[in-house]
Amino acid sequence: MSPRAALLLVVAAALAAGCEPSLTALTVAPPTAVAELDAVDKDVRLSQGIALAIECTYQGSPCENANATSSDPDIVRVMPGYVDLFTPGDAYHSTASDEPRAVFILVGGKPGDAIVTLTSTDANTSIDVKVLSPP
Amino acid sequence: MPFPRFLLPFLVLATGCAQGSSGALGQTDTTAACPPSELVCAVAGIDAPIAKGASLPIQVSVTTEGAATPPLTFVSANPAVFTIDADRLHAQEAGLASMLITMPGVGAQDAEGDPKPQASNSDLVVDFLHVWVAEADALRLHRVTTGGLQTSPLPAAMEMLVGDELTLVAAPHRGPQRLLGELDAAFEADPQVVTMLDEGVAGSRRIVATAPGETTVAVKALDIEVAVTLKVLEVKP
Repeated sequence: MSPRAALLLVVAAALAAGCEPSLTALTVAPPTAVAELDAVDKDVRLSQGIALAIECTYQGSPCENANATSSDPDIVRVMPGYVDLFTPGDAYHSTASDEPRAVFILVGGKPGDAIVTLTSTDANTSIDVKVLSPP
Repeated sequence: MPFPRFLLPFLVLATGCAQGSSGALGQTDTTAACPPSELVCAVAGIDAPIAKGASLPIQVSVTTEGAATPPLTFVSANPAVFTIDADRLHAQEAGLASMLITMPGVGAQDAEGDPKPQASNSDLVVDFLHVWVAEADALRLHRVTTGGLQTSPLPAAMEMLVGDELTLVAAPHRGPQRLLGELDAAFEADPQVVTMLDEGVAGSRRIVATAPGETTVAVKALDIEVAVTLKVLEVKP
């Protein structure tokens, strides 16, 4: 590979990485259960019957017109969440004029693997979800 | 020493706005459904596991800024652990699962425009709460006072005078914890000595001493039995 092609690949990879939305877990698992998000690798481990709230942001603002779907709702169900802009724990101190927060609730169904696809006007991403047996 | 009833309003003040169990997103407070007079119940929240086989009516208030509580639906994240019928949790099996608190989203109405009975993927999750179900290992009888408070478990035997009344409630326990939930309990006693009235409160009876004598009030629920001996004495002028 020529140096120029390699440089183009690096630039393309950097641009692609910049298009990824950021994911943040808003809740924690109860004792003995698992509900964790790896925000770098974009994967989630979740106990059966346990819910986890995840927020999508893009360059510090809520992902716009965000939508999430599950490849297998029997394994992981995804529902939109409503979170007040003023709720304590809001990491980026929204004001009332800001976009609504883009929050999704993942609910562990039967044990297995599934993919949650998150799309928005800003950027898209997918989350690998592993649902574990109940605690 | 019994808890002085006049202190109940101060108990509410002392707990500030924190009434009930706060949801994972901090936007709701959940309590067992209680009469307004039972302030201790109203501020306690879901502060123990629900007994397997019992049911627990709940009430949820939304605490978001600038909005009253919207129409809500409760959804079990694992019906094998507990199911939900309207506002009542039915504990099915020992375990742990989340209870989703949802409100109708776009498209959450049927063809007639009525709300759909079950939450759909378009419904909005306002909050959720992790709920435990545990199997009871003991059943204890508690006395319900006129203030609605239940004292510590009854002793094995008690004395009453003819005409005295006593309201008992059977409560499930596991180890040191009193579990939550209403039980379908069966009460038995000698009808020659006491009359037991079912006043429509699950797991509870009002017992009226009618004649001198001794009887054992036997209570059975969740395949566990408990009893208290009542000795009824004649009132002598």
